[in-house]
Amino acid sequence: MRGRRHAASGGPPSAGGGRRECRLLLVFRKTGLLAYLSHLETMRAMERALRRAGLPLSYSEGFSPHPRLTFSPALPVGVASEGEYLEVRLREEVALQGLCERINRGLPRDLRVVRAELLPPHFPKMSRWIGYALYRVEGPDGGGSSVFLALPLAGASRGGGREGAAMPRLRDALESLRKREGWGEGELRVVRAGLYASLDEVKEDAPSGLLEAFGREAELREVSG
Amino acid sequence: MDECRSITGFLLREAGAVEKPARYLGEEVNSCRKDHSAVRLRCVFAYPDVYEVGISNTGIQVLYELVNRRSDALAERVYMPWTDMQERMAAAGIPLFTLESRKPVRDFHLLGITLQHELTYSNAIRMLRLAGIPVRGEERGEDDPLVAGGGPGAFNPEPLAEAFDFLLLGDGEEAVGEILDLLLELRERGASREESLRALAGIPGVYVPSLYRPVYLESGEVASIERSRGAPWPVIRRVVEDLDRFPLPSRPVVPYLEAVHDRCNVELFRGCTRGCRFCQAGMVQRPVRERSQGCLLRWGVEALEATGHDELSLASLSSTDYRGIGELLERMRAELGGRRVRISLPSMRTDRFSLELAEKLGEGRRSGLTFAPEAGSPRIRRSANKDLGEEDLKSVLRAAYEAGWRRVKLYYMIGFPGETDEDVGSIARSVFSALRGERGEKLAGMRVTVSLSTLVPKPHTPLQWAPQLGMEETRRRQQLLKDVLRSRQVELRWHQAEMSYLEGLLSRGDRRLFPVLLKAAERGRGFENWSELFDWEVWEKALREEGLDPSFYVERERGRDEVFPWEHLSGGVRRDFLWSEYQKYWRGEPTPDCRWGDCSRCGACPRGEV
Ligand code: SF4
Repeated sequence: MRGRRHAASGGPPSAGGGRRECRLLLVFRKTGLLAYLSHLETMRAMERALRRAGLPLSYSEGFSPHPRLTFSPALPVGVASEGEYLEVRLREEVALQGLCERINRGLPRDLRVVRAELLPPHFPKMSRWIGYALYRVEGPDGGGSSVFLALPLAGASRGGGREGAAMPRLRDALESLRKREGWGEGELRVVRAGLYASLDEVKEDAPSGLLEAFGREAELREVSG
Repeated sequence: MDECRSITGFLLREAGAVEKPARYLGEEVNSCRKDHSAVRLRCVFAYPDVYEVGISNTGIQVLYELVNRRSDALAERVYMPWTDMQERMAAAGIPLFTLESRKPVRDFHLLGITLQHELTYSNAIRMLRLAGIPVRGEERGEDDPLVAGGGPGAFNPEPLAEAFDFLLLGDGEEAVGEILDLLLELRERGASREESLRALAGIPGVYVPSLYRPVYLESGEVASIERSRGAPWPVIRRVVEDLDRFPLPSRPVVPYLEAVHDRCNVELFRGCTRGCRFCQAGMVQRPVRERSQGCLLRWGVEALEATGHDELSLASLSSTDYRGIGELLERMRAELGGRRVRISLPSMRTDRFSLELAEKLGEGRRSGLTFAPEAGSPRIRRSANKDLGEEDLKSVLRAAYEAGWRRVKLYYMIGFPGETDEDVGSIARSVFSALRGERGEKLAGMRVTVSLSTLVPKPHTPLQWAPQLGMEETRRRQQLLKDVLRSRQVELRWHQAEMSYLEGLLSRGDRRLFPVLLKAAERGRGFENWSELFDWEVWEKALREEGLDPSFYVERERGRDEVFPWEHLSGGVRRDFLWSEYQKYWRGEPTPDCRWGDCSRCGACPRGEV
């Protein structure tokens, strides 16, 4: 699944136990009506879930210390996601066994941590390794087959000489898609399927019918499998 | 079932088009979704204001948890949809629905509306309309929910009493169980609505408006209040003597969106006997009932663990009056040591002791200090019985400055009976003195926010006889302060004169205002306490049409023996005590706090004296 390979290949696994700082990567989903939570609301909800779970959160220094959390790029309000990332800095290592259940206790069905893993100490910052967001889009008639749409994200350092290029916005990409598919005015159902380091990784998860949006105008091109 | 699915579908379609959709989504942590077919009685608690205001109310959370702990009943919640959502609901034919099951409110057995503030009354009416429930109790059929009321407004609900089947006066913790038990029994028996209401009136503290009828004099005053046979006289407010028996709420609902108060609340004590003569809570919640330190510690930790909040607020009418507050704070800090939890004291006396406590809490320097001197002039403070045990604001603020505080919020009121321009001006003088050091030098970096409200005399207080300021005069006195409080270090906030006027109208109103309220609720936009939606003209017109003069209710001083519209309702304190306090107001005489001094035999204690 998304991101796993990077975590596993980024360095040696930590020498278990002991009181040492560690980085925890959580993958959570935000679905159903909770897709309408804003980014800020989602952040607050997850932070409280971590506090309820009693994790040894590491706090920032300074006048008003807050837990050191990093969230994947904001989802537009109303777009559900099956794989959001949250990196948590902990004061000491925790057992992964039963951790998701512990965090999920009390959370509604539509906001759930689905995976947890420890990141190696030198694993790059989230903004440096997340390069693409993949969306699954259903046309207004529903029931029809869905289209996969890959969007490069700003801030990521990807190879391929893309740095500095204008990043397409989801809203524009959906408009391009609407034109291309000849869809009418109706509501599109959009779900963020996951976040990826590279287009190659995206292709593994969405082998057929994958479109990539590029440039300020969010033009679309097919990505061959 | 279908209806709930269609409401979910409606939300999925429309939630993206309204402001702050999280107001309507439900699914909050600690919200309780019980199976409707598994219980015999379904209740909804409603707060007639927008979600982020309502969710911060502890009273509803307490009742919500108490009901949901029972196996035979459930409770859900509803808040007033904002205007954008109301429009969309109307367009789609969606009735007011609960957050938990997304079922129409009218399908529940009991709808409890809390009346926290007069300016939410029009929303209460609008909620009934949105729910499709007839607004007059007498028009409701056997299948309509029973509409109940509670909260401070229940002490004079007369302007909207006819919208309620019954109301509860005072503390709800014990009464809610008695009410539910009785309702279950009545349902079992298949009792009619009328029979049920008569039976409910037998529960102490329950007021059934349809059993009483006011008769008016030519002059407009109430001549008498007639009651039907068997109806209690007066209805006396409920008091929970031992609050330690109600360790609630231990699992408060955690909102997604930023609420007015995003924190856990533990109530240190209920009631306050400082005896401020304008304060209704300080009269009707007597006597003081403290919770034990052990319980407070246990529940505080429990609530923090159940919510994940990072702030624990020790709420009460005057938190620093808690016996052993210093020790409690020490123990809390020890207990919460590694948790990164902020402890806050939302209501402090103006004295050095309170300042030291704030100091101990550390954290606060950022958010600043809040004091409520209420009146600027010593004369008015004496009359209001507000200066007992409080120190000179100036010296307290100077100490605060020395200790490093730079932000101070001060609450003041204008419109005290007998207030002169000199008294009003003294507010400005005390604010400026807070900005000056020993030798009159400027205290650099000090910032003061002055929040100025207009005194609204409340029922069941010594000032219930007193006149309230007219709108013109309110504006003139506000202007006096605006003219002098010009400083970059001072920010002045004030209440719209019309809003305080409406608050006063409804606060001491009678049943003749009901048609006015119905019209205003229909023609206005609700949310009267939101200045951007408030529209006094709607009220003025409705009053004119009903032939009512608002100044009769607001600006008139009442005679000693006048029958009040709330004469049949008792806040526990004797009327002659209130009258003597009113006389002492004019003479500027103090009445000691019975918590530390002698009992003044106000009547609130069941055995006369404690
Ligand atoms: S009866 Fe006496 S002790 Fe009780 S609240 Fe009144 S003044 Fe205080």
